[in-house]
Amino acid sequence: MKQRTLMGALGLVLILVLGLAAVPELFAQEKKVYEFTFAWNDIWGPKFRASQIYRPGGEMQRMLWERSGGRIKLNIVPRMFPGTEILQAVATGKADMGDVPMPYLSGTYPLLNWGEIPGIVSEDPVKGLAEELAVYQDPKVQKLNDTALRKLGLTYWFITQWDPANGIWSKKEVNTLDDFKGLKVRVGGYLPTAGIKAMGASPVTIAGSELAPAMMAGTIDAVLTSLGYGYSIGLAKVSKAFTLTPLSPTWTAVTVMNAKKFDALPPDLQKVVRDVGRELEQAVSLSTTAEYIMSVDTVDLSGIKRTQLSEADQKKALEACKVVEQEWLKLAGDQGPEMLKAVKGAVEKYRSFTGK
Amino acid sequence: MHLQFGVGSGQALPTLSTGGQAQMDKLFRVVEWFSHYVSGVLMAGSIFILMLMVLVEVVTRYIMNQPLSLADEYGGYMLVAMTMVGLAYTWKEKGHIYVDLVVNRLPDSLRMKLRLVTLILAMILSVLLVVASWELVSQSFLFGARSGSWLRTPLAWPQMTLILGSVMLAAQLFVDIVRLVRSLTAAGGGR
Repeated sequence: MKQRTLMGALGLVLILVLGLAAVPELFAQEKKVYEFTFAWNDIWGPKFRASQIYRPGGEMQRMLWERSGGRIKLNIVPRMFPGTEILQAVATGKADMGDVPMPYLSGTYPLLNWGEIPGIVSEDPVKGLAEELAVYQDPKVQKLNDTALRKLGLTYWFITQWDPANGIWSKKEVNTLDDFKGLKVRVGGYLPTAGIKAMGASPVTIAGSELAPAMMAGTIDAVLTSLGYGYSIGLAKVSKAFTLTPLSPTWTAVTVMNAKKFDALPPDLQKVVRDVGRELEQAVSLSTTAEYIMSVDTVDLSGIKRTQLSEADQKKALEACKVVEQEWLKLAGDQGPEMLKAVKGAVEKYRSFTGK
Repeated sequence: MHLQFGVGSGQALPTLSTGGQAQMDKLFRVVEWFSHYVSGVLMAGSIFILMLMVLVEVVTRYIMNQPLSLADEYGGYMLVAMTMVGLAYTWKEKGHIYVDLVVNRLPDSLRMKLRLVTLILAMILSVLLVVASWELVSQSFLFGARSGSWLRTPLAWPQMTLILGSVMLAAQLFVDIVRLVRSLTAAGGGR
């Protein structure tokens, strides 16, 4: 009996000692600071809407720090890698997080570039931006995005939307589909080039820095780009009209995180990261929408005629552009049909909710 | 006035004709053959091809209204190739920018030693270039990187010119370093 009591007492002491030893460990884990390097290619300066959240001291760094109680610390390194190399850099652990402009990588990761398919989201940028955001926030699409990125060693975090590069800045008015015939249009990217060809125009590749002089010299007749960006590079000075097209209805960057680094976070911090991402993408989306609406006023005041194809021609253009979706399906691989179905489903769901 | 070392300088090599040195001289000739024909002649020919490509692009754009859309992208790759692969030939022909304001005022022996130091530094830089280029190309292969343009070019292939250029430059520098060491040794032995 005495022996049993002694053994019991010893056991209790052992448990107590082990428990006391574990307390500092648990305490340390709770207080562990996770430091991450965030890479982004800051080539636009403050006029890049995501720079407001990405810049050192900006919303992303601050929100992660505050929401995690000081346990997530970001080291933000602008221009650490060129935009086209950030994805590889994060995947291989040279950086922990990064901003990846997907259209730049459309040749390598076409699956993640469904946004360039005409007709999925509205060609009206205000509606299109909201629809696209709804797609990226759809759980099915998020899962597919994450699955695709996990294969590369990444996890999907959030998106930052630009205004879509879906307008034709031209020297003559483009009011009908016939007006596209023979028009020399500067266009970038595989899918928009396929689309502009399908609409009867001649695609031309020219460096982005030479667009306004090339229009002036007659090397090209038009440029496919966004309203705000086109204005900022001087296209309003060499153009007469800006026409919305169904091509390239989104222009989006995906913010990714190294999968191992994300998985190593405790669940509460993983939730903080996800929640902050969701809030940031909404903030950027609203900012881009507001900026687009202001750009419309600015362009109108500059004397540029903003036009749109008639409803009948819009339908014809969309029909002609079906080839873009087919091309994308060829490039996107096995996951393409599933992704396309999920994306279209998310837009439908959003439209049924908003009644638009 | 420049100190002239290596090929094209007309300087006779010290005649320490052991078997190993003969082998090394043979290797040097191979390196210089590559520097001359691949880095020099081939890249000079590429300028002509680039010119033709731009001409075809202009003709198809202005006259046929159906541009090929090749020159912008491939022209970019060719310019990088010409610059990088052309480094070794330019080095061999002493065409790189060379600041001799101070160096020319130094005594010959000190000038040769300083030359050795700068050659070694250049060699270190070129080895770093080889490593960085190798890393870039291997990542492009690993991720299957392609250009986002209409051509969807697999990027690893044009990027290989970075490795080729930096390896050739490193090899040419190695030749110059060994030759300079021989000259220094010969000069030291003659005293």
